[in-house]
Formats: sequence, structure tokens, C-alpha cells
Amino acid sequence: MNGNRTLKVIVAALLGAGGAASPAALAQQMPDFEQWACRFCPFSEPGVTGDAGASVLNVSDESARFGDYTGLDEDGVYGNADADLTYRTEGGYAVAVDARNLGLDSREIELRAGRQGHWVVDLSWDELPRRLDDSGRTVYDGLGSNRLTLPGGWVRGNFASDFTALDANLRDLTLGWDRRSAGLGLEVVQSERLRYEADWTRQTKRGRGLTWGNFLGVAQELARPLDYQTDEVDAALVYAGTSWNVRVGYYGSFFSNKDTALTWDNPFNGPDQGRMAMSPDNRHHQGQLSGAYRFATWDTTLNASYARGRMEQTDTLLQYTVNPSIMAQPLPLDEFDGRADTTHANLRLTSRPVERLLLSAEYRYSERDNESGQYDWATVQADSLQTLSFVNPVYSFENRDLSLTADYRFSRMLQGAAGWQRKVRERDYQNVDRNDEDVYWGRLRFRPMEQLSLSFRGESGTRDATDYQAIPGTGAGAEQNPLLRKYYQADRDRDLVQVQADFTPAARGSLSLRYENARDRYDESAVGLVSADYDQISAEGTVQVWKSLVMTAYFSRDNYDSFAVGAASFVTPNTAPPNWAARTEDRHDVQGVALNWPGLVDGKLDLRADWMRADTTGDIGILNALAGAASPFPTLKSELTGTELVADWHLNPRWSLNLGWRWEKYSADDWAKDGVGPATIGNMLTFGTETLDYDVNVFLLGFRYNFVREEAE
Amino acid sequence: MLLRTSFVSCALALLGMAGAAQAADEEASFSRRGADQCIGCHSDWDPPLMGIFQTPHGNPHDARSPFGEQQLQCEACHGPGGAHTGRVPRGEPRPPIINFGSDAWTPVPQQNAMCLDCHQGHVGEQWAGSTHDINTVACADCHSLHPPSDPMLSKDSQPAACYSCHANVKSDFLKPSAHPVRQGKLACTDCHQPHGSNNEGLLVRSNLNETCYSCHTEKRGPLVWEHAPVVEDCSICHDPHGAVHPAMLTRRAPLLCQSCHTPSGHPSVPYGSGDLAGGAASPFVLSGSCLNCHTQVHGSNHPSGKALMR
Repeated sequence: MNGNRTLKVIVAALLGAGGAASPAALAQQMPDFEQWACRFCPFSEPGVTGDAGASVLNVSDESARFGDYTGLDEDGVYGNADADLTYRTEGGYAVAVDARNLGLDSREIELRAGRQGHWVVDLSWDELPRRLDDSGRTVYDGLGSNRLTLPGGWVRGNFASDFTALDANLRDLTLGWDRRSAGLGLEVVQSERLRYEADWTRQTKRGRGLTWGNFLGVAQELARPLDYQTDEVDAALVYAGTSWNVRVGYYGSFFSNKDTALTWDNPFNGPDQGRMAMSPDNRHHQGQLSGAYRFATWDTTLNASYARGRMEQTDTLLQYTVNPSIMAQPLPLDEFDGRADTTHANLRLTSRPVERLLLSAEYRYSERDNESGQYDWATVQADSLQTLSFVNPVYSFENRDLSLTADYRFSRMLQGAAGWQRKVRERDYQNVDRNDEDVYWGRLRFRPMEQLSLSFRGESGTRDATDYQAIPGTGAGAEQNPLLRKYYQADRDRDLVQVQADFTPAARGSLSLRYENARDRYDESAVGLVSADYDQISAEGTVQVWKSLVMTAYFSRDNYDSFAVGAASFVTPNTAPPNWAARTEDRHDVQGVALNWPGLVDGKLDLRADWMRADTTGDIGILNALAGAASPFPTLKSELTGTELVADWHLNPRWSLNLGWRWEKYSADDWAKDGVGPATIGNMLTFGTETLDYDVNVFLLGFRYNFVREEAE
Repeated sequence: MLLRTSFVSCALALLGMAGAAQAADEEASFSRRGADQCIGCHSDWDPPLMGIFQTPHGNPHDARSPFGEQQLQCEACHGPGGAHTGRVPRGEPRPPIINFGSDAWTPVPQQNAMCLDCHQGHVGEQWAGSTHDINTVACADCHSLHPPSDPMLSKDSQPAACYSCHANVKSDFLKPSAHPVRQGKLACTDCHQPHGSNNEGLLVRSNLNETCYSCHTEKRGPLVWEHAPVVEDCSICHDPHGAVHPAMLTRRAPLLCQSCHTPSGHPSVPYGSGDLAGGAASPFVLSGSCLNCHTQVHGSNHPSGKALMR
């Protein structure tokens, strides 16, 4: 059967070339496989291939920020190991292990076993250490639990300055968590056309995060407990025919949180305790169907996908308040019936009526239909004050996108593309029911010579909003200024320009330059964000300096500027005209140099060096018509500098010695933290955290064993 | 088998370009000895080619592999090499074979068609008309088939391939608040599906929020009291590639919040440097700013959580 199909394809090929041949002649077009012995092909033989290494690292200083994601937060010596090994047996069976950072809290390991083309089982383990902060201090006991208590003898007060027992009770606090993932996957290839895939992942997140608790007029920083577990299941059946394919899949997500609430003592005068809800358990099921059909005419492909899902959340509700002085009201229901149905559909037609022209039309539909119940809630504000009853809004969204694209290759030198996109966004219970946006774009690629490529892209979009309306049931005192236009719903004009030049004067070097400018204008917004500009320029060059020595240098600058207008008033409702404004200017500069010099000393020594610098600044100026021009905020700053030197000495084809040094320094100025101690803010009790500046050196000494064939030695 | 079909389809496309039956006949012929003949000249090629025998493409035990039984070996991807390996008249250039990458003489659509003929059901399901297809990205722009391991498949080395076009994203991950791509703990493909998907940004799940929920599941809900922009689109407040401000926020609180909240009293009032630690030490600016009280900014499941304070 296979041979017949092959023959048919060959016939098609030859007929397409304008000729006709006898079946016998056609058969001769196939190679004589007896001559195709592949005697010189160095196929992997049974046994172990790959490499494994072990190392010792010495970290000079303790730093939560440096250890964030890396696990190198403590100073001292770390043992580490990694491996990339494959063990093969006769018949194509293999077991592979890929392990990294085994000695660190960022360890990950993946074990794969199977027979390629038949089945594969995949086991994985991955740890992600978050080291959020180690500079804080707190007076609370019960850290990590869902009950935070004040120490005995705590003296409450109206202000933080009244906390006479504060200094005596402050203890060091660390915030952070460990995210750990275990995975099991299976792929079975039943036939050339049909295969099955199934993946299960269990992810846990345990530790302490930052949150804030408050009572009317006072607040405190708190450590919230994190004990999450999420199971995810992905399963699919895939069938690939000659001109079509289809995938039928299921995705499930099951989240559980051991802590439904956090209860804490009030350090200030007022209610004794407060309680806030933690994230409730939730479930998500989604069925998926997608596929593609390729027509013989004009190289046309039709892609389609449809996914229908349901998100559910039915956790038991907390009471309105834990304040016994407020008469408890009955809840409208004990368990919330949270449910949102989701629908995502996509239809795309792509065709090449002529070889140089690509046409594409696409329609996308996405809906979140919130079917949760709506009830009257007798809310108690901050465990302090019984307020009016409110009905919870249930937000639903419907997005519809239609796009048309044409790409034409005039020649190898010139290629152009253009497109149009209509985006419709519909919402309910919000100020704007519907946005309609039209986006036009064009792109030109010009290659005047083999060594130079230029690319230009321009885009212009206009988003219109339906009438801006007040949201009903907001509550007295909470009405927005009628001149406000929320930027993600407001009328907007967006223009974008991108220019890129790639120059490769010779095989020994290349230079790439890129510029991008994006401008958002909200001209109909009297209050709110009225403009946001972004531009970026970047350059990267690579040059082969000498023999195998290659140097790469790069630079980039990002600018983010925005302008917002406010309308301040203490009169309810706020109908004040615009009377203040804020200008924000953020900068981000990156520069670096990397040197790679392999094969020194007769191929025994590989050297690599990197230097990198990333600086940010953030300036915020307030233009205050009420009280004259206020002094601007101090500049927000961060500076990150990193240097890395790595040397690998190949003692022989099997063994190599690894030496490394990494230095990284970070410093920041942040007015939200600088000078803020636990009692600096009169009506807050904080952790008094600082910007996490660090200056860390890491030295590495290790060896690596390479499993090579004997003949390679 | 699939590979044989694949190569012939591509040959068909190339023959169509050539337009001459005779040339087509020549191009359609295979080399006499297959890979052995290729290795004779290319075994010491730079960059090295022989690493492919340690990869899935060089596995003789997989019938789908180019080196599976009675498959077309090198010519499965590079097309019939009869003319290329044959005798070349003096002074004439050696006829080329199909080659790969943006600088290759073979047009990118034909290159990709060659790959997709085998990988259609694996990665090509949503390729046609996808962003990378429209932008004429070649499979070989990202993937390297001849080294023992494809850098694109490693979390450490994958971002570099993406940065070659998405240079702006490279700097994003060096911002003070960013996902851990720089640390090698997250790859671009953890969030993006570069082979095409049915949503903007080539995301792996059905839309942006559902992609974020894969790791930030606790925010999925639905909750009793939702914050409308949170359930609409995470990127209204966050830049997922990295930001100058904490928590990957696009702007600093309270200004970010004040862009949408203007009730009378404290939400509508401008704050300045006089509110910092050396001055009034205002809780509306310091520590968590608005979050000091409205701590449940992603929504609350508390019956009293309307103002996102519980």
C-alpha cells in the first residue's frame, strides 16, 4: 500500500513537470535501497551517551533577591550536579534523563523512557524558589498559618507611634515560597496517522506571601499563608490524514487552597480582629476540537478550532464579619455558585492563488459567560461598619475579531504585506458596553543586496466606544467622576512604527538595528489616561574578532511616557472639572558584551565572558492646579550589573574541568520603601522592608564527564 | 513513508518553479548511494552535520524518521540529490539541493512545506496563516536539526532564538520585575505556541487570562466580587514580559489605579513627594499604596468584599 501511494505521488510529480512515463520507468525513480546501506552513518549504538557534571559553588553573600528563582539566597557552599544522559538499547528503546541544578532549590529533572515512534513516558520534577524579601520585621506570631496573633503585652493605640511594645517585639521575617511541579506524560503512536497524548501535572505552592489587612482608617502589612495545589490534565487524540488532521482534546484544572481565610489581630484601637477571604478552590474543564484541511487548489488550508469550557467555584462562604459588635446578618447562601462558561472558536482560511501571493482570512470568537448567581449582600466594610446591601455584578465578555491579510513577494529583493483587523469587545455591568476597533497595517521588506535586509512596518488603529454610562448599584459616595474614561474601554487612536535593519557584511560579522514607536491617544478622555507613548531602539552586533573568538555587543533603550488627568474633589458625588495631571517617564537601558572563545590550547580550553548592565529610572511629576506645581517624586532607580567568566578545560575527550566566576550587583531607590520603618506611616504597621540591594560573587569549581564512544577518544 | 511523500511533494513544488520537464527529470533523480554519498563530502562540514544521528531525525528504529527503514535519508529533507551528487561538467556549478533558513535559495514556503509534510499533525495544525507563517519565518530560522540537541528545545538556549526577531523582549526580561526567563526557569514556549494558535500573541491556552491561570490558578474564580479589568485581560495592568514597576505593573500605584477610579475623596486626590516618608508619610503612596486597604485587587470571595478589602 505504501509503495502504491509513493508511486502515485511520483506520477503526480512527473505529470506536473509536463511529462508522462510508464509505471516501470517511474518505479526506477525510487532509489535502489540496497545501495543505500548507510554504512557511514554513525547511528547511536546501545549504551550511554551524553554528559554529567558535578560542581561546588561558593556564594559570597546572603541575598533574597539574588536567590529569587535561582535558589542561591544563602551565603556559603553549595554542591550541585546536572546531567544530560541517554541510555539506548537494541530495538530503539531508550531512557533519557535531563537534570539541572540538582543541589539547588531550583532543581529540575526530567526522565523520558520509550521507543521513538511508538511510545514515550515522561516523568518530571521542577522546583521554582521565590525569595520575595528578607528585610522585613514583624510583631505577629503564627507566621505561615491562617491566624496571625499579636504578642502578649501588645499595647494598642490610635497611631503607630502609640505602639510602645513595638520595638521589643519585632522579629525578622522572610517572605517567599517554593513552587514545585511533578509531571507525568504519555504519548502513544498507534499508527502513522494516529497518536494519543496525556499529561498530568501537580503543582504545589507553599510559603508566605505579602498582603495587607485593614480596618477603617488603619492598615497593616501581613504575611498570608500559601498552601496551594493545582492539578492539570491535558489529553488529546490526534489523527493526521493525508490532507487533513484533527485533534480532540480535554483540559482540566483543579485548584485547591488549604486556607480559606486569614484572620489577624488588629494592632490599632478598634475591632479586635479582621478576617479576609483567601483564594477559593476552583475547577475548570474544557473540551477542545481542532483541525485543518488542505485543499489541492492554490495551496489552500482551512484551520478551525472550537473549545468549550466551564469554570466553577463553590467554596463555603465566610460570614460577613468576625466583629461581634456588629449584628450578624444571614448570608443569602452558604456556598457561592460561581460558574462561568467559556467558548473559544477560530476559523482561518489561507491560500496561495499564485506562488508569490499569500492570502489569509481569520475569524476569532471568545466568550466568558458568567452564570454565577447574583444576590443582595449586607456587606460589612472592613469588619467595622455595616453598609447598605449590594448586588454582586457578574462580568461577562464577548470578543469577536476578523482579520484579512495579504502578503506578496515581488521578488527576492522586495516583499510587501498589508492587513485589516476589526476587533469587537462587548461587556456588561460596565461603563462601556461595546468597543469597535479597526486596525490597518502594512509591512515592507527590502533586500537591496544580499548582505542587507530592511523591514518597515506601520500600524494604525482607531477604537470607538459606545456611550459611556454610569454603573448602576455602585453605592453612595463611590460614583466616578462623569468625565472619567477608563483607558481600556475609552476611544483610542493607536499608531505604531517599526523599522529594522539587518546587515551581514561578511560571514565574520553581523549588525542588527531596530526601532519601534507606539503612540496611544485618548483624545475623548477629559479625565483618566490621555496618552501613552512607547519607543525602543536596540542594536546588536556580532563579529568574529580572531579565529574562533566571537564577540557580541548589544544595546537597547526603552522609553515609556504617559500622561493622566485627574479631578480631585471631596464633594460627593465627584463632579469636579479636571484639576490636576501626572506625567510618568520610565526609562530602561540595557547594554552588554559577550565573548566566546572555544578551542584554545589545541582545542583543550573553552572560554566565555559576559558583561551586562541594565538600568531603569522612573520619574513622576504631578502638575497640581489646586495647589500649584508640586515637587516631583524622587526618581525611581534600579541598577543591575553582571559579569560572568567561564573556563572549561578538556583534560581528555571524557573529562573536563570547569571554573567559573559570576558577579552581580543590584541597587535601587524606591520612594515607596525608602525610609519607611514599621511605624513610619501614622496609621499603618508595616514590615519596614527595604530595597533588596546586593553585591554577590559566586565561584564555581566542577568537572564534567562526557560519555563518548571509544573511537572518538 | 510519510517522508517519501513529503520530499516528493516538495520536489513537485520545486519542479513547478523550474518549469522544464527535462530539468525536472534530473532533479527528481536520487543519488546512487544515499547518505553514504552525502557523508563522503559533508562529514567534516562546518557547522557539523553528523550530530543528527543522535537526534530523533537520525533514529533508524522509528519508521517515520528520515533514517528509518527504506526512508530517503538526507534526501528526505534536502530533496533528490542525483544531480547534486552526479558528474558536473567542467566550469558549471554543482546543482544545489534544497537548503534551509532565511538565507537559503529555496523559498521559505517550500522549506516549511517540506517540514510540515511530516509534522503537520504534530506542530502544523495551526501553522497556516499564523503570525510566523505570514511573516515568512522558516522552520530552520528557529530549529537546528543537525546538532545533537536542538537549542530551541532547551529552556536555557531557546530565548536567544526568539530574541533574534523579538529584540525588545530581551530587554524586558532584564527589568526589575520580570518572569524568570533570564534565570532559565521559564521558556518562551511556556506561554507561547510559535507554531500557531487560535488567539492573539500565539498563546498556549485559549486566551491571555487562561494562559496566566495555568500558573496563577488561584485567580481563576469566578469570585463573588470580581474586579472587572482583571477578568477581562491581565495585560490591562500587567506587562507579562517584565516591567520597571513591582509586580510587572505597567505604571506605579496610585497613578495606575487613579486612571480608572475617581470617586470623591482619597481616590481622586493627587499625591506628591510631600506624601513620602520624609513628609506626610501617606499610606495612599507608601507600602502597597491603594492595596494597603483594597488588598484583594484580583477579586474577593468574601461576602463583604465589595470594595476588595476582605
